[in-house]
Amino acid sequence: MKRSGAVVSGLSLAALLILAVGLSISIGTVRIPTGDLARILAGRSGEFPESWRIIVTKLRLPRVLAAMMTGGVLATGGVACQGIFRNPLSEPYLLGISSGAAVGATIAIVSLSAAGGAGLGLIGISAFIGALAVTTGVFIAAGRGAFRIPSTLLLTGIAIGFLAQAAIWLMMTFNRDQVERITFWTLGSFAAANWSKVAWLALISIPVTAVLAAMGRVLDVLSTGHDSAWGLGLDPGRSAMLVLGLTALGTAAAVAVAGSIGFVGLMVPHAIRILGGPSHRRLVVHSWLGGALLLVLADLLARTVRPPGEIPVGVVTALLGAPFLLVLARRSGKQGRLDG
Amino acid sequence: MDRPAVRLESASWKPGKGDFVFGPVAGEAAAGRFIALVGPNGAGKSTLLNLIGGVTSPDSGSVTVFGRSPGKWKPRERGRLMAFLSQDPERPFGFSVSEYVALGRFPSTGPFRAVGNGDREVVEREIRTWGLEELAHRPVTTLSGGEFQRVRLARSLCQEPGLLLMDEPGNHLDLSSRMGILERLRTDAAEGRCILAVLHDVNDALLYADEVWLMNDGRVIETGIPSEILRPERLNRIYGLELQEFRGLKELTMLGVPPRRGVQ
Repeated sequence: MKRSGAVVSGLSLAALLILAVGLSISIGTVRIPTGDLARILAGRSGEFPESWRIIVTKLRLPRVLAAMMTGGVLATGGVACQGIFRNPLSEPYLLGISSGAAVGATIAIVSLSAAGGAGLGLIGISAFIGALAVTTGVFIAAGRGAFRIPSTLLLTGIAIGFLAQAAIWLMMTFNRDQVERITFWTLGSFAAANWSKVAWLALISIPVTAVLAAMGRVLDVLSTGHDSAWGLGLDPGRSAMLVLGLTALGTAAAVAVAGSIGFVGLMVPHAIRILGGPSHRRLVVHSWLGGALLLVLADLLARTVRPPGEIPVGVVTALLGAPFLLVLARRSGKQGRLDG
Repeated sequence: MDRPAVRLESASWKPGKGDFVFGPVAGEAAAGRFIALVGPNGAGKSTLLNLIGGVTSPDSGSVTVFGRSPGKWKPRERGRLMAFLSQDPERPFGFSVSEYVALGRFPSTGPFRAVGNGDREVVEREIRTWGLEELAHRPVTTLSGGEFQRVRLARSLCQEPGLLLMDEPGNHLDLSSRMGILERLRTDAAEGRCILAVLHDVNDALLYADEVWLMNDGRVIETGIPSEILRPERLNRIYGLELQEFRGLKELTMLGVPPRRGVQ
């Protein structure tokens, strides 16, 4: 793909994202007209009820920003994983990140039954620690040379994921009163988003995305395979470790804030690939925009389909993701390959 | 020649399990030579390339490439010094032929430097050399085995390496493409590159290589001029065959299995 084409599609994605963010802030149980929305965001006064200002600045804006950054970092992580594992069906959750986060969250829910405190809240912090701990465990269990044969790391991730799931079911069995909370957390939601969560997410996910984008050419080389990357002058083990470490960090932050929302990391990089070539710098940037767009819209659906209640945003992404994957499977069945 | 491209001093290596032992092997590969590694399966040819390429390190003894152990070079320096074409290529999804070939400039550009005109010229030259103009925009996943092999060779040569390591470069190629590659490699070596290639057909080694390293049971048993080393008696012993000598193209000696005699 030509550079100019990449810029055009990037700008289009960015424009769509801005549009979706605006739409998402204005729509809800209270509909806020564009003019008043602009006035509120600019901090000016106008002829609107003061509660609107609170709805926008305290509720919708942090919520939309959280959805945006979560979607962005999940999709970016998907690009990194698909590149490193040379497998179009891999995504960050296969590293045990989501199951680790779920274990962490479950432990917090059953042992503290505590409401969120400052910042992430205890559940979020526990989920973050769980995600990183389980991912580290996956790396250690897979051992050296895991990057040479990518299926080693993926199988290890799956095995440890089952172990984590067993731990969660066990805790659920002994704490039946908390089952609903655990399930709801796992499905993911931005209902509890606030500014400190947004700050936390920004602090981790934006640098992670920036570094991954900067490493785009390294990802290009890594995606050709271990021996090939070695031959092209990389230390593939070290580079892959760095990329996956960053991915795990970014994904863990997202999951700690929003629960384990599925399909974004798998679906978005594929859609972005269809739009253009393999350059990972472009894939990272465009997938961030695409993932952000997808989750902002999914969250908008999740909270407006059946007001005043909400459906979990993970359900929305799954409903969108499954048909997408089916189309992808058919396409690759016809072409004998999975590269969009 | 001031210093050899490759020097091995009683280098030996043993895999984690199994009976195979590589080495000890000693030897020198000079710049400007096209060296064929010949020997039966399991002789240690790929292991030798892995040791020189730095993918594995010797358990004892030493391997140096341009005066330094391959692991001691910074990875990108190593990528500019040598290219390594392994035997079992992966086909990464998403790359077109020209994008894949252009990856060969990574050791020079690194992760951040912009791709310059000089880099583009190298890429275009190699695409022409290997006859890939028509395929330039095809995804590499749709190529035939032979086409992809040419793409990999073009990528390796984009690295402009002083040392080229190849595990069966003629793999997957039809007769004329194989001859084309070997011809190109011989010219390249004559221009100062050191090339170490595993060749399975002894006649390829006889026709194109400057030097042959004959390997068996994890050791280099003979080195020298192909026509002197690749004698029927010696090969018959190693391969358990009864080869015959005959006069081939341009009065060159070639080897073949006699008629009506099956391979064991």
